[in-house]
Amino acid sequence: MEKVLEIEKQHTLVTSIRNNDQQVLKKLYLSNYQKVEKHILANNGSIHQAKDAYQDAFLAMYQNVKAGKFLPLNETALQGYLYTIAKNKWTDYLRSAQFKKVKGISENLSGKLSEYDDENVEDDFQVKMDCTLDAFSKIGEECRQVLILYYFNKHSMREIAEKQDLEEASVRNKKYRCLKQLKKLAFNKSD
Amino acid sequence: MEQKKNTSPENIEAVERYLNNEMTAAERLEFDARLIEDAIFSTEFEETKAVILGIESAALKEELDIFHTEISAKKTGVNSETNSRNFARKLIPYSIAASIILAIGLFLYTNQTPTNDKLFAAYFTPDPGLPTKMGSNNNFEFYDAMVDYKRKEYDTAIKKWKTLQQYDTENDTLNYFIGVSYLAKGDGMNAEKYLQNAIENSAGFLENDGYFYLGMANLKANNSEKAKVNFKKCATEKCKEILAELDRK
Repeated sequence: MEKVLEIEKQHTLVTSIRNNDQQVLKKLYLSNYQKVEKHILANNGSIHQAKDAYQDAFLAMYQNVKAGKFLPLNETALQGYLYTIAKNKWTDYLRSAQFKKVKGISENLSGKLSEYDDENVEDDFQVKMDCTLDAFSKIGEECRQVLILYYFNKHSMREIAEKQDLEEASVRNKKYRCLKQLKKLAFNKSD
Repeated sequence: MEQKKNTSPENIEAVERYLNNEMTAAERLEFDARLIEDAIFSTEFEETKAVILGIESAALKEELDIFHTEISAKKTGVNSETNSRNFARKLIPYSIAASIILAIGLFLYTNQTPTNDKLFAAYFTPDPGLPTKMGSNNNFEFYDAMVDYKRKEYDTAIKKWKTLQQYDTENDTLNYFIGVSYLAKGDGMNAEKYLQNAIENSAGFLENDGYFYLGMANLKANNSEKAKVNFKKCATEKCKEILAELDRK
């Protein structure tokens, strides 16, 4: 019974992530970092690298949850999932040419790390999302604001209009123009 | 021409309604059928979906750096404590002389009963606050109040943070800083309320600081027993010192 309740909590957690509940995202981020840092520090990494690998993993977990690629099957599924992604990302880095060039990897370490499987989620959808991420830093601040408020913070058009002291129709039009501009930059399209 | 039609505002809004599960069953069926029949529409749908998730990911990425400041802030606290200890080891010869002076001081001090107010005055310093990073998102209001807090304009900071806290009553960071601000103003009762809330919702990240300030709030509210309970939950040297002082009372 307790296990069922815990799994239900996991489903609530997944729903909160899908809804971009920032408090839940923050708690999840803060409460799982130390374990990842410990693993990376114990495997030739620095604190700076631990932060980067963890943030990459957190973003990948978020994207997979949002895209419906993850469903919790046990009571600590999501936390375990996040840790596994972070570990795999770090393993990938250790195996990469970039790392070997800098440090050289010992046979012993190489063998120890090979127990982890590669997680290759590089599909067409992922490529498009990554292109959007890159393009997002190139659009103007006004566009970034309106798109973040609408899509990430889930504010209504009316709320954004009030916040920006604009007519609702202007905000709707602005959001449409900004989205088109972003798509154009991301996918190099004319429309 | 077909492609232009597919990226119309109406189509984009339809994609959003589909992704947010806001369509009726009939609308959804029709939409699914169109995805199968119309290849261009299907491609546009996938692209819009990827763009929306890309925007959300970009926004989250900015948030992650803000989340991380809390981890870094805690670590800086720990490191400075460790550095202080290393430095202290080098000063052992001097510490003997200092101990004698301290012993005399303690002797004189033990002849007085330390009141809760005296202890509070001796040990309280407000939390240094978080770096004031003005992001492009809704954290602006939070960091705006942080500027007031750092200027010791506690009433203004409390007012601004309380406006945000109304919509996010379990936010540990907001409750923590509102609590510490009340404490800095000398209002132990209100500080207790917000700090307790912050600790309960902090997922263990406010253990030392949270219990230290909660203990201080108890002292300010003149409740030594409650203060002892909370200082015991905090592992820093400062908390241990205050506990020792309280036990001598």
